[in-house]
Amino acid sequence: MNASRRELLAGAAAAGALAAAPAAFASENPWGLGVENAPAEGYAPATMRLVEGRAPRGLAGSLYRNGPGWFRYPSSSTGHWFDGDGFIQRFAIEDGRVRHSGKFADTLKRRVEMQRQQIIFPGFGTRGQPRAPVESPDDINAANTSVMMAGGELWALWEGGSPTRMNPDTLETIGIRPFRQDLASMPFTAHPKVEPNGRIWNIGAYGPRVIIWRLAADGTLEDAQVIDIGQASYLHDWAVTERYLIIPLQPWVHDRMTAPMVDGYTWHGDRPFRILVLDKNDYTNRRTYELPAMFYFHTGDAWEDSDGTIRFDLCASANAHFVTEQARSMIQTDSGETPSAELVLAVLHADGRAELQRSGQFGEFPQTDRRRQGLARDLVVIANDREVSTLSLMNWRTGASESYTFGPGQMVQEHLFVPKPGASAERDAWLVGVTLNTEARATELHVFDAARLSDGPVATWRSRYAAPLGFHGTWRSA
Amino acid sequence: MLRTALLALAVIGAASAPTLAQADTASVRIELTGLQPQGQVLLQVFNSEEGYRGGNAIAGRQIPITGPTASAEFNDVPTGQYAVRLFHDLNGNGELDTNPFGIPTEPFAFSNNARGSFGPASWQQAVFTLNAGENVHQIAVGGAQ
Repeated sequence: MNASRRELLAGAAAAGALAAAPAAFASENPWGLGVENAPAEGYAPATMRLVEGRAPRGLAGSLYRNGPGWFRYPSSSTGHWFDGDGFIQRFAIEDGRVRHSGKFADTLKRRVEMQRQQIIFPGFGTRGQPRAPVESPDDINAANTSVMMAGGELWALWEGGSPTRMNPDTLETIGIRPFRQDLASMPFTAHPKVEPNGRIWNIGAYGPRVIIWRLAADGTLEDAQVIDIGQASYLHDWAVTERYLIIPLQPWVHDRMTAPMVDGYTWHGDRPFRILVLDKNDYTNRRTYELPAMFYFHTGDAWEDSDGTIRFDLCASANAHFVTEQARSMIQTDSGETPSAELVLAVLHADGRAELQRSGQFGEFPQTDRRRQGLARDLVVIANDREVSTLSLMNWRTGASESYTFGPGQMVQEHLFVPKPGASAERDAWLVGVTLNTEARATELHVFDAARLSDGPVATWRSRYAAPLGFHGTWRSA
Repeated sequence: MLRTALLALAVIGAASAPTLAQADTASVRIELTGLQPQGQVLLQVFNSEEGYRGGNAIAGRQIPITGPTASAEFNDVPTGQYAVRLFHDLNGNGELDTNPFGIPTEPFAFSNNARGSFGPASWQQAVFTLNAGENVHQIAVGGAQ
């Protein structure tokens, strides 16, 4: 047992938090291939080869994915996975064929660093050069975390600054345009929540305050308000029900101004995991719940029962080891060992009690049927690329789960629910996502039938190259 | 605050002008480019690091902006080291507007086109020398990159 495993288990026991699954990494760095620089000019549209099954009839549209795609110059490299330049990939499915393309978001950060062929700017886990010219958060906006469609544009999202607007057909960058001049450079997380009617909610965190964004379906601003949330917790994702905004406040708190930013956070394992619930119509109407300490990046989605109980899923781990250690070291050398996140359901009762429902399933990048955003639903899918590469579909109503395990050498990434045309049930959907096949050194696109996940992909296409790992994506129907 | 500073400058300028008429004097034309044709630029000139840090300008100008370029001239000033800071008051309210988290939302700039790092440019970055005779100093406003 190495030090990090001991630390993890001790931490988990002491906190009474989640027991974490063993996570043994191969001796070589399995992440290495996924954090190599993408070609500077990107990938021109290229047909992917069908290697298994065949394209399901009726599946037509594009999967867009975003993630860090540039990490190294000859004499310098980013200090953290999260700081690579945003690289947007498109998997366009049409007439049973898939074409892959990719392009870097044309950010100020990327332009300056490419011109000088070195890392200049500080980032989340990158120190940057002394006196790097930074006058606003958007000067260091990496546009590297997620994508969404709004008003006919594709927005590349970061979390500390503005969305970067792109052309969804060409992946050309349009640029940053503030929602309103007095709100320029305000943070906008990579996890906006889109109601079934199209309205977009998002938050942006800055210390113990957040801005709450409300946008129309076309991406225009309806309202923005700044509220105090009491503590400067790391806030990457959140949740929304029909009536409430849910802001989880984990005990990983920014309490020191230092560079890089990640070093300013402290893990307070003795403090509770607070959950702030706000009324959508009156942000002063709020309740706070508490759970034992745990760390999370991502929620699935939230809903409320008729008796007022609120439920939302999240992928929780015992501590912040991944973000403070592994996501740094993976750029440099070995990936080390880190706790897996377990899929859990936070249950917030109307009487103020809170509890966790465990799934026994481990993984990350939880995804749900986005037509049910904020509404009751049963299913959530997670991707596990730690011990074994598995896609797991959890049914909270029945407590059952099913999964598909990829062969060795596959790093499984986020898979999205894509509804089948004309169908409305949750299971009447495809799960569409990507793996990095480290043996074939190629990126693969998979389509599963959500009703028969364990049968394996109904279709798999393979590119002729290994594109960088990504974080999050969105589906745009043809 | 800047408005106060500009008022103060006017007083300082009037009081000190006679003493500036020395042999080694210079003139400088500060040329601004990259402007949106609206509002005004509020510009300050400093002649020491202490003054720059403390916001104690030795001269200032309020320049209406009607085109992409503008300029300000200062005559009969002693040769030596100076720094300039300015902001483009797009809406003409006399303030450098910020977003709710304190980040400026109007363009600002410094001499040498110096750029700050999580704050204003330092004196060392912004300082330039005025030699005897005529000088020209160009500053790109709003988009030096």
